Order: sequence, then C-alpha cells, then structure tokens
Amino acid sequence: MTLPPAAAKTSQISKEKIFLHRSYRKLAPVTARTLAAEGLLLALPFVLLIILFYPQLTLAISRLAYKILAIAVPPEHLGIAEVPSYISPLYGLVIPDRFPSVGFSLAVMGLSVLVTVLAWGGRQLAKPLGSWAVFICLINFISAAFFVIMPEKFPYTGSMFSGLYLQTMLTVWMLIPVVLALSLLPMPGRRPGKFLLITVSMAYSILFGTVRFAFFMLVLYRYSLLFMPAMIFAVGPLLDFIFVVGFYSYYVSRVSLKIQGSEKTWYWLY
Amino acid sequence: MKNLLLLLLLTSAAQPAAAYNLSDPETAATVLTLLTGVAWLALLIVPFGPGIIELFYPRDKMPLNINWNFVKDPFYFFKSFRALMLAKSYYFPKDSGTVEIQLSRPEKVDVFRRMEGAPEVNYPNIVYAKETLTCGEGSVFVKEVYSLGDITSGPATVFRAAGAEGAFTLGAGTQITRWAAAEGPMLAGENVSLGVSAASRKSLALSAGCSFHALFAPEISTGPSAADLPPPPALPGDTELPPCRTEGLLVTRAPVRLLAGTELIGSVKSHSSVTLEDGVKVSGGIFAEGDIFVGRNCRVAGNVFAQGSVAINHGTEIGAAGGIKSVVAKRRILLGGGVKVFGHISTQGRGEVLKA
Amino acid sequence: MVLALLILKIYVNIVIALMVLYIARQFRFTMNRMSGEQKMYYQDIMDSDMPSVTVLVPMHNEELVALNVLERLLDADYPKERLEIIPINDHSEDKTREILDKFAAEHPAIRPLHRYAGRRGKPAAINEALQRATGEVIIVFDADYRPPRGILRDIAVCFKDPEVGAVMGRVVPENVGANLLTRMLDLERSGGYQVDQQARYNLGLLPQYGGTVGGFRKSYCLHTVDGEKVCFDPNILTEDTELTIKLYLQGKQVVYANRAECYEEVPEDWDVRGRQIRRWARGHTQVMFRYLPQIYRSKMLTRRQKLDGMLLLVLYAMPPLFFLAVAALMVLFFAGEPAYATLLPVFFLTVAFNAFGNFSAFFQIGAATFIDGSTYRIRLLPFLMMNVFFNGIYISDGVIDAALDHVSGRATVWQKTMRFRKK
Repeated sequence: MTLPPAAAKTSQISKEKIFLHRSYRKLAPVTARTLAAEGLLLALPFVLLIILFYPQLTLAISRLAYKILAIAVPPEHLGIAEVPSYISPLYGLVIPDRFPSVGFSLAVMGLSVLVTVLAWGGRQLAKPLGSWAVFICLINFISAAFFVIMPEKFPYTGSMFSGLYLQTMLTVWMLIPVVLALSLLPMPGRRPGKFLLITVSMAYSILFGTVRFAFFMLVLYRYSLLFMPAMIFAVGPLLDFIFVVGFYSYYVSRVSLKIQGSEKTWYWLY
Repeated sequence: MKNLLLLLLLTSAAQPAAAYNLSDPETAATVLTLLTGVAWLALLIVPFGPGIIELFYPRDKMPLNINWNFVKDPFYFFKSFRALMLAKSYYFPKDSGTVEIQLSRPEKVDVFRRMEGAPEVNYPNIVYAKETLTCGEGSVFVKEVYSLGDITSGPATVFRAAGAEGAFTLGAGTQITRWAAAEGPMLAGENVSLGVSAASRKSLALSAGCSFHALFAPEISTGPSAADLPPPPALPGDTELPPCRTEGLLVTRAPVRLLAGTELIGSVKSHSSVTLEDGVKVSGGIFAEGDIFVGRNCRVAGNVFAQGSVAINHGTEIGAAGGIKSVVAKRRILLGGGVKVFGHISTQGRGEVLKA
Repeated sequence: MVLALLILKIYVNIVIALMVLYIARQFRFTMNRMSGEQKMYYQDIMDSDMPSVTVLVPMHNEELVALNVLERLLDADYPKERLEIIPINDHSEDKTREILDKFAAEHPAIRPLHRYAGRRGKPAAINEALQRATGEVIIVFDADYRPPRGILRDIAVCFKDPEVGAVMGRVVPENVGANLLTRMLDLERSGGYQVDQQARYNLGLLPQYGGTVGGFRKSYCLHTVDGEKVCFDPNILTEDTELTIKLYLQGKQVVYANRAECYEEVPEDWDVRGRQIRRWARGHTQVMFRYLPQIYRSKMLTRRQKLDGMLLLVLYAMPPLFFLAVAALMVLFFAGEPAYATLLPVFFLTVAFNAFGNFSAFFQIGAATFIDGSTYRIRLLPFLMMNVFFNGIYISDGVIDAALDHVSGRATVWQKTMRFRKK
C-alpha cells in the first residue's frame, strides 16, 4: 500500500503523554551490524589477550600454586613443566601421584552413600544444595569403585590433570567475554560500563581459577587421585558461570535502578 | 558446609594422633588444603553477596503490580478528573475567582461562570467553567480544562487536557496534548491534533488533516473534503475472492484481495495484507498481520485489526449504528472522506484524516 | 570397545549441539523482546458484541481459596448475560461443596458441577464441564488465581480473530516474598512470559496455552470419543500442551496476551515444587511421544514453526539427556580418551547447561526482569544455579514416568499442587 510519508517515530514518550504499561515496552531497535560490532568490541580484546599471553598467564598461575603448595609439600615433590597446547605450550604443575588405598576408597563409597541419604532427606533450604551434594557423591562413589576394582587402569596422573585443568580454564577465559558480551548486547548501558563488567569478571575468573587450581592440586596430593573426576564433572568449569551470572545480574540491576522513572529509555511496540 | 568440614576432619582424624603437628608434612598438607578450600569457597560465595543481601534485607520482593480494577474505558481520564473537580467544587467561589486545592500536589484553579478568553493568552492554572468556555485563537492551557457546558476553542489553541459536559468544538489547528472528552458531540476542525485520546458519548466529527491516537464515539465520521488513497496494486501471489456472495471464514497466509462488489458472510484473516476493493461487504471482521486497505463505499460489520497499517477510503462504514466496533492498527491509520466508524479507532502509531 | 567409545562421543556432541541450539533460540528471543518489533495483542478492540464465555474453575479441596476466585469473577467487567461460571468440585473432601452451593444460591451465573464419580483430575473435570458449558469461549482459571476485573474481556476479545484457537495470559506470582524458592520462581516466570512467550508470539512461532489464565474456542477443541464430545485426553497430565499442539496441527493459532496478567500462588515448598515439575515433565513428554512425528510431517506449519514446536516438546527431555551425556563423558574419562574428547566437550556442555538449565537462560531472565522494571530482585539470578540438579532430577523422573506410560499404556493419576494461602 502506498502511503503518504509519516513522521519518523522518536524514542521519546513525551512528558505530556500517559505512561504506558510494561507489557509492550521495548528498547530502541538495533541493526545486526551494530550488534556484531558491539559484540566484537566487547569480547575480542579479551579473547586476543588470552590467546597471545596464555603461556605467561599459566606460568604465573603455576608458580603461584607452586608457592602455595610449597608451604606444605616438600620441594623435591613439586615442579613446573611445559604442556603442549593450542599454539604455544602452557605451564602446569608437577606433583607426585597418590593412589587411594582400598580402605580409603571403601570409606569414600560409604560416606558418599551416607551423605546422599542425609542430603536428600534434608531440610527445605538444603534440598537444592542437597541435590548438588548427591551429584558430587555419585561421582565420588563411581570413582572410588573404579579404584577398588581396577586402580592400575586409571589413565591420568596429577601432572596430566594440571595441564588439562589449565587448558580447560583457557577455554573458559576465552568464552566468558563472549558469553558476557552476548548477554549484555540486549541491555542499554554504555560500552565502558559493559567493558568494565567483563574486565572484572575476567579478573575474578583468573583469581578464582588460580585458587581452585591450588586447592585441587592439594587435594590430589593429599587425598589421592580419587577426587579427580569430581573436580572435572561437578566442581570444575560448571561453577565458573556462577560469578559470571552474579556480576551480570548486579550490572543489570544497577542499570535498572538508574533508569527508574525515566521514560526516555523505552519504546512501545516498535 | 558442616558435612564437608566433617569429612575433611574425619579423614585427617584417620591419621595417627602424633601427626597433629604442623611440622609433619601430611598434617601441614591437610591444614593447607582446608585453608585453600575455604578461600575457594569464599570466592564462590562472593558473587552471591548482593543476592544474599537482597534475600535477607529485601528491597524488591513485592509482586509485580497488577491494577485490579483496570478496564478499558475511553472516558477513564475524564471521569477521574471530573470526580476530582466535583469533589473539590465545594471550595470553589460562587461566581469566579482563583482557588488553591490539593490534588497530587497543590494546584490553582481558575473558576469562571462563563469563560470567554482573549486570543493568545497563557492559562497556567486548571480552568473550571460553570457554564461555557470559549477561548481565543492561539490560547494555551497548561493545565486541565473542565466545563459544565460547552467548550469552543479558537484556531491554534493548545490544551493539555479538556473535558466538557456539553459539546466540544475544536478550532482549526487546535492541539490536545493528552486527552479530550465530551458528553456531547465533538467537532474537530482542520488539522486538529487530538492527543492520546479523544472520546465523545454522542459523536465525533473529524475534518481533513486531523491526527489522533485513540478515538471513541458511537459514531466517528470524517468530513467529505478529505482525500482518498488509491488501492494497492494486485500481485500474482494474492488470494482473490471474486465478486460474488459467499459464506465462510477466509484464513490465508498469502495477501487477500476481495474484488469489487464481493459480499462475504464471515471474517477474513491474512498473515499478510488484506485489500477490499470498492463496494465490498463483509459481515464479520478483517484481521491482518500486515496492512489493511478498505476501498470506497465498503461495509464492514465487524472489527478491523492490523499489525501494520489501515487505510479506509471514502464512504466506507465500519460497524453499525447502535453497536461498538473497532478499527485498530499498530502502525498507522488513514481515513478518507465520508468514513464512518461506529465505536473505536486506535493506533500505536499515528492516525490521520487525509487532506485533499 | 572403540566403536562404543565413538558412539558415546557422537552422542555427547549431539547433546551439545542441541543445547547450543536452545541457547541460540533463547538469545534470539531475548533480542527480539528487547529490541525487536512487538506483535500487538487484541486488547485494544472494543466490541459491544462479545462472545459468550464459560469460565471453568477446577477445584479439589479448595476451601481456602474458592471464595476469592469466585468473588473476583463475579466482579469481572463482562456482559453478565454472556457470562457463565462453572466451578468444578472434583471429588473434594473439605467444605468446597458447601461454599460453591452457597454462591450458586446467591448468583445465578454460577452453576457448580459436583463430581464424585468418574476419573479425578483436571482434564477429566474439564471434559465433563464442557458437556454443559454454553459459552463459545471457555476460559480456565485455577482455583488459587485472582483474576482482575478486566481480564475476561482481554482474554475473550482475541476470539474475534477467526484463526485464534486459544489464548494465554501472563501469570504473575503473588507470594513472591515467602522464601527463596518463591523468589526464584518469580524470576523464572518473568523470563518465561515476558520474554519467551512474547517473543514466540512476535516471531510467529508457537506460544503455548498454559491451562490457566487463558481460554480456548470450544468448537475448535471438541472432538467425539465414544459418542461423547471431549476436549482433553485424561491420560495426558499437561492437557494444555496437548491442546496447543493439536490447535497448530489444525492450522489454528495460539496467541499470547502479555497485558492479561493474573496473580497465582507458586509452591513455597521444595518437595511440592519437585512434584510439580515432575508432573509437568511427565505430561510434556507424553505429548512429545504422541505428537513429535506429527509436527514434523504437518503441512499446516512453516519450517520455523516445526522447529520451534519440536524444540518445545523436547525441552523436558534435555535434563535426562544431559545426565546421560555426563555419564558418557565419565566413561570416556575413565577409558583414558585424549583430553580434547573429554574436557572441552564437558566445558561446552556445562556452559550450555548453565545457560539452559532453569527453563530460561540467565540473560533471558535478566532481560525480562529489566523490562518489568524490577531492580534488586535481579541480583538473585545466581541462586538459580542451585536448581540445576534439583530440577534435573525431578524432570528426569517425570520423563522416565512418561516413557513407562508410553510403553505400558498405563493410566495416569492426577496430582494436585498443594496450596499455601492462609485463611
């Protein structure tokens, strides 16, 4: 239908106009090109930094973990070694392997069953946390059973695990900026703020990953390789997104508070 | 958490008693493991911090507000304002004067018996006329206007909002910012802008060039001098209903075209556009995901609803006297001359009466 | 052995691909809701000739809430001569019957149906009520809902469009502040309605009829079974999902009315919540077994609608598929597969599951609460991570129940969600 040209629709709902319901509120339209550009601008610098400097980063992490472990672990038991990776090698920690005794494995199996029973029958607030505990216990149970039946077939050493862990963390650190950039794209808010959010999340992830790395290596050293599967499948990368979501939610709530009462932000229907 | 600490303590308790000595590597490793574990858990909990604060000291835990009593009422703003004025009218002077009343904040009300305003005067207060209100050309009413009788505005007057218990005549070029309502007939001159909502209990007559968002009256009509639009050209993919009398529901993904002289006993729905050529009759409604074009002298007994735009040409009638039907379009509504809509017209974009 | 490991790897990659597809879908929905063009609902239509409406309110032991819902319905802004209210007393053992009879004695528009024979459950109750319902449009409210004055008109008006078979309004939790669970459910509901349903409506996909705060056109839904006109199969626990699919397969539409909001009561107890989602998962999966091939073959749906429909039906199957993928990965792990075959897929899988695991991706919920104008409650988003395994376990139970139903052909027993409103 050929229509006479209409006046362009503006974002402003004039102060004189009646404020409209949340049901068809929306933000300003954006083009795919703008979105792509913003996404790249937000995510690419971090991804590139990780790709370019991951050997140095993993070396720093491994050195820090070494220093922490050296408090309690004899230095002749520790080392830092190169591990082949994507482009350049990364640096992982070397620790001696501790295999669990049969008694220890059986104790873990028994404890896993006990915790499962307690967790699932627990109080209200413990229910969702209990389900996590059940999952962790299940993995530990399977792992302990493996070590009872065929410990010699366990395919990984502690040193191999450290390389695998850091390799996984590199992937996490390349994906966090992408996930955050995508999540933040629909939100209003200035790019510096979004960039700062991603920076904080990355820094936190590296700190978190480092402390967890030291903790995991200590557990493997002190309590045996039995707990390795749980580190990968339960409390590994699965948890990294908690703080991504945490920082994201804080940012969104701040932006929401900022625009309260402001009609300039909202369009209506189109 | 307790279980975790218990587990760790139990395992370390499995060590010989003499090993509770930090110089012992095993004990030292146990303690260090515990400490790094606690540090890691602390880092895990930190992102929950703002959420934990909100959980224990909630600042946003009320359910989303739903207005229990909300119903669609084109006279809602008029009724609310009228109720406020009538409640406060006890304090108004008998004849004329200015009085301050408390609404959502203190407001001044200029009370007149009959107001006959000079041209180009700014009225900063609420205006309350006990009989009639006539204002000169170019007057600006910054606050609401209410008349117990008729309101007649000169050309190029600006009202924030106005309600009349009698008739409401808007001079050419008048602008309503928010709402206008009348218990009597409403007549809008050329190029009048009718704000967010205009409603009359009797009739609403629009001249060429009028613009609007939402209108309501038992009969809404446009003057004869408004222009017409040519129908959109037919395309090969169109579903055409040939000139005949047919019964049923027509639902299609393709554009629909009812050819001149068709009579459809039923409704039409298209996922694209709907075009009615001249003289078409539809006993039901017309719905389109795209645009709707209604030709000259058509009769549509039901509603017209488009996600795109609606154009209604000369002499067409939507609905019938005594009932309420609607013309609703998301983007735009264009009305030609001599159009009648019995009920309601609404667009989220812009509605206009075409100028010749 | 090598072949077995290869099969496991392929399986894991398929699950990852599915999860990435869901994330992409949810991202598309979020972008559309935030910045795309919104499709208008029909509430701006004013019409003096509204369709005749029968409001059904299934009740089983609802003495705590019956009064509220009936009072609110009687106060509705709808032509009284076109309104009929049928509260369905379904095998109640408390004072529900007495309350309904008292209302009926005082208000002719209320015509209770008392059921003490026949199969218990919402689908069976509605089927029986439909035999006596006179309205062209059937609107259903659960007993614990509190409909605002204008909602009947808002729901009924869309049936002026001849293609509309059913409509769903927006459900808003009222007992938000009760505890952490209710606050999390409030976030999930926001994501599900404000973004997910509205985006599917905008994009011409398949918004769902949800069985309450919604209505359907009686003539499109009734079919004859054993000489009786019925709408729902009493063996399907989610009759609303089944109706949605059946309507689309007939070439009809389900529309979503974001403006038609109504308060509901969400579970305040985790066990109750677990049973609720287990029931939903079971019913949804029952519908999947029955209708997935039909959706694929349908000539009434566009390709995008078919994809959306299939993803909708497979939704509840994802948590058990995820658990199986984790199990597969553990096998690969213990079999000593090279790192890239285990850890990287684990990571992608868990990333995807994090985003997906609570029925709405976190960015979808963030966007929804932002549009709603909520502020501090958005900070509770990380708590949704707690639900990952809890939901997964109960959903998996429900899916297994549905699989057993399908294989054994056993009849299902309806379970009502417990009420928490105090007298």
